[in-house]
Amino acid sequence: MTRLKQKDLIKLAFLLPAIIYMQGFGIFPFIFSLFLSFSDYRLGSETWKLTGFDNYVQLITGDYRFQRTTLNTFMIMAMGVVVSMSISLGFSLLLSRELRFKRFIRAAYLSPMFLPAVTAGVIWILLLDENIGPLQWIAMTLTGGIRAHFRGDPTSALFTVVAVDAWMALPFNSIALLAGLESMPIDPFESAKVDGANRFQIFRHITLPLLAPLLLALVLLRIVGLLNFFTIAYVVTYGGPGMATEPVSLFVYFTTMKFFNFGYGCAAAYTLLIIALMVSFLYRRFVLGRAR
Amino acid sequence: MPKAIKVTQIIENFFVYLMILAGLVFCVFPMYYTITTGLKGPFDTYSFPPKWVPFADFIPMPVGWDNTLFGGKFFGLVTGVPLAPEVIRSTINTVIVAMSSSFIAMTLGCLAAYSLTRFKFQKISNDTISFYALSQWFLPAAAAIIPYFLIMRTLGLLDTLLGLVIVHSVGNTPFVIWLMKEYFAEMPVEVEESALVDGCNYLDAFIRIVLPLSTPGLAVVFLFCFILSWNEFFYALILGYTNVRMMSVFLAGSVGRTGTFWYDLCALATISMIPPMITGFLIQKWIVRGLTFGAVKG
Repeated sequence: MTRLKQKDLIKLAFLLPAIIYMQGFGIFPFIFSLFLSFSDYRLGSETWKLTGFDNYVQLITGDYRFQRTTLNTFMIMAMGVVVSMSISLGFSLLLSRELRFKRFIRAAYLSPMFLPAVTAGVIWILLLDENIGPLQWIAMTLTGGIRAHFRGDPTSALFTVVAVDAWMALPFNSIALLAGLESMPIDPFESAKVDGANRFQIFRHITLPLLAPLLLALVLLRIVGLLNFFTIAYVVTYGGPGMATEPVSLFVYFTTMKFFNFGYGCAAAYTLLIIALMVSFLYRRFVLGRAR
Repeated sequence: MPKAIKVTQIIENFFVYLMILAGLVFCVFPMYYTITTGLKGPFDTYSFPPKWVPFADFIPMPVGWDNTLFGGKFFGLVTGVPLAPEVIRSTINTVIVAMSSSFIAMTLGCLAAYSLTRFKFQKISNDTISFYALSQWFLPAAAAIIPYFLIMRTLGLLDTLLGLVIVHSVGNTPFVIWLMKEYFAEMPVEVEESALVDGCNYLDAFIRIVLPLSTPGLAVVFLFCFILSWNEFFYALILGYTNVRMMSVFLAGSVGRTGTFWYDLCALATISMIPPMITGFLIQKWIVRGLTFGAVKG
């Protein structure tokens, strides 16, 4: 009996420090910012009051910049997921083959895995430089001397930030899909071969369905990552030209740290948070729920 | 007939290796070009078409490294910005913050992970608790940063190392819990149980038996936390701007400040990618399963 009591105590004593710490410094800020989002609080102003849903109404109906950044976030998300997942799948299929120098090739493919986002941004600014960048040289060689404006033109700037982000996300997604491919059961593949299925059919009807849960998990993680899309947009384009590559998180940054409009910024951030909560619910339901 | 198969096999292999090569260039070339640009002198940096290969295309002249590490002692300052004191300071800042925040996150996270794997909670299931921890990582940083800013301002921790340590350790704790949970779950419980029977208490058993046995896992997770903290930009940008500029913030700020002094910037970028690259090679094999949060099994 005392043993049981001690066990109860000890398990809480082990768990609670982390929970309290995360609660206090982790969850409390989110509650605080929900409160702020219903106010017109500005940094430095003496008086402020609760304004109810005014911030949200203004954001959704009256703020062109917010609408534009929301659109940007969704476009970056859609393109980022499709581009990075399809290339990663291709890479992982390539890497799962029997290859010479397998270890070396894998290590090289995965080498940008933990690269800081800022560094990746700097690297790609150099590569895409309009005067001296190697990619500019390649583009000019291919087109016969027409200068490309990777970061200067609104449309290509959006593709550029998506590409840089996809480049950064590739190693992790490839190695995760590779792990998925290598842990697959062999039997379905062998029986399909016996039945005379060709390679595409095997991929379409066996590999993909077996990989689907993992793909879903990676897509959801990717969506969460892209909701927070900030660093690359900040470093590579600073949201520009104009607002062409400004995601919501950068909008929040400008609103609060440039214009000190804290209440309004919180409301904008909370729209992101609602999407994130939905994604985390989906993750729990379909990824973790399936594992049990 | 067998011969025909062989020919298609060769053609296929040719295309496979061609694609592998293209992928290799795509993955590695950006970093290669940055590192080599850091070794270029002013003239080679700005040549167009670009110079690709050191010694063949250009003679290395590490102006950028001189500026970033020695403040231009060897080549003079005319060709760049004397970054040295700030580089060293921001590197030290980053190491301090990364070390201490990882240490805090490890301590709290390991205890919680141990509790979640070895005990069963009645009122709320273990899965719910660990998902609650994970969900914190799902929430966007943009929504937390404003309260953080206000809280740190009230506590007087704005622009201090301690403020960043707190924020980074809070952010890393969920990772530690999830990664160590997997690790503890696979460890046999018999050793601890016999220690408990011999009169060891739980904390003793944890510190003397469980932790030493899980040293490899602890090392991997610690390195991972270190890298997360080293790479982190958003919080570092807003909570530490002048006194405690972190490496990532300093690098991002240098983009505008050094203008087109690409050799300086590339030397700096190379410094910032050394720890993540080394760590990446050490831990990538171990970390994938943990980072897909229950999606990769086996």
